[in-house]
Amino acid sequence: MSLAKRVLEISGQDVTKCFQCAECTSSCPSAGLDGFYPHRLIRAILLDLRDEVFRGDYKLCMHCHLCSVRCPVGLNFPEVAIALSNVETKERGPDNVERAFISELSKRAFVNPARVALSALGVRVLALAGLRGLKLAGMLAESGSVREEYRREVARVVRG
Amino acid sequence: MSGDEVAYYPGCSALTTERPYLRTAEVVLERLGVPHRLIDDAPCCGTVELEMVDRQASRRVAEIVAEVAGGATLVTGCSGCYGTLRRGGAEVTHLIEFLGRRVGAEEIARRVVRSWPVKVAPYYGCQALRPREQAIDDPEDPQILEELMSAVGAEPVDFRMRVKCCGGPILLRRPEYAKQMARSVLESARDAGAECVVTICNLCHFMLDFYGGGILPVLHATQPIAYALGEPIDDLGLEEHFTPVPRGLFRP
Repeated sequence: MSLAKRVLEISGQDVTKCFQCAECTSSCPSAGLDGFYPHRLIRAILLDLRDEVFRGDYKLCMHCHLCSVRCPVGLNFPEVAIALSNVETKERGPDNVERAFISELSKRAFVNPARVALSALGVRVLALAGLRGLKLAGMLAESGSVREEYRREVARVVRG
Repeated sequence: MSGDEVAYYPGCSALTTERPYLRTAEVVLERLGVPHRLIDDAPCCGTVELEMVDRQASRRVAEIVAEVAGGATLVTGCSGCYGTLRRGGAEVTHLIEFLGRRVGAEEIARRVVRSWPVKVAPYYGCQALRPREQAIDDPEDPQILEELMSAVGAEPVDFRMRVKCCGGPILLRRPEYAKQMARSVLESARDAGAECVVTICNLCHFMLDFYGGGILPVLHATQPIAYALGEPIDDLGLEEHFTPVPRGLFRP
């Protein structure tokens, strides 16, 4: 089945309506980041260019919906991004960020954002809670890697 | 169906970093005489990450939350939860819409016991305004938060980033860029002459308070409202913010 059809099935969004005016791209706070341009992505879906579509830049959509309130044909790009991600998850499994989030959610029906941030970054944490935990996660996310001082902090939280 | 009672869904962050939001939201409902109970036994909404993995699972979570609310009016102060639950099919009202439209800014103004005369930048972010089907006000030119702030004596200022994204959704994927976005919100508020920013979402607040570079204090909209309705300054949770809130912002 073509990508355009899968997207329609999952999200109800008919990308064949797009006429490439690029209002979405001019509204988009992520436009240009890692070569992400929403109108080009829609075009790639229409042409069924799977490698191009699943390059992963659609995950830079912030779901701010500025494009969806401005699109002249009423397309909702964030819903298209969700549909693409659902397709990709079925075929290749969730990415690290999603995996961390879902495993947390399914274990405790409650998400501690700190634990998610940490496991998305590949850190195994036994117990992290409260204010200090989330502060820590913020710093980790910011640095993008586990720095030594935060390692010590993790150890302290886990022991404590 | 929605009854007279409010079932308040706090959102995960309101139980960790954003506790002052939950506390002052309850204070405001209490002081306005709105019967309410806290939903503390429902799962996390799953936010956009769960939608990205499985749309159907996200809908199921929204169903569960709506079931837990039962016959009460389901209200949340977190725009992220609000958007996710709405998209999942739950009937949910944003706290700010509840205060501004059900209770009404005029009613709140009538109950004000002390004015809060501060130049404030009302920041909406995205999920309470867009997509259009879930907008609590005009998707690009809302006024509801300005009305509430005026009701408590504040002077709202217009600023460039007031309906733009805080960067939160890509914090884990592109942290440097997300941080830059948070900072630009605060810079535009400062350039417009604001003394502080008020937010209406757990995640927006976290982004601006933690990643905003300390440019301005960032309050939850319910903090000045609680203050104006008579809540003591010491009970507003001001000391729990990452960016220090000067006591002078709340002149006794």
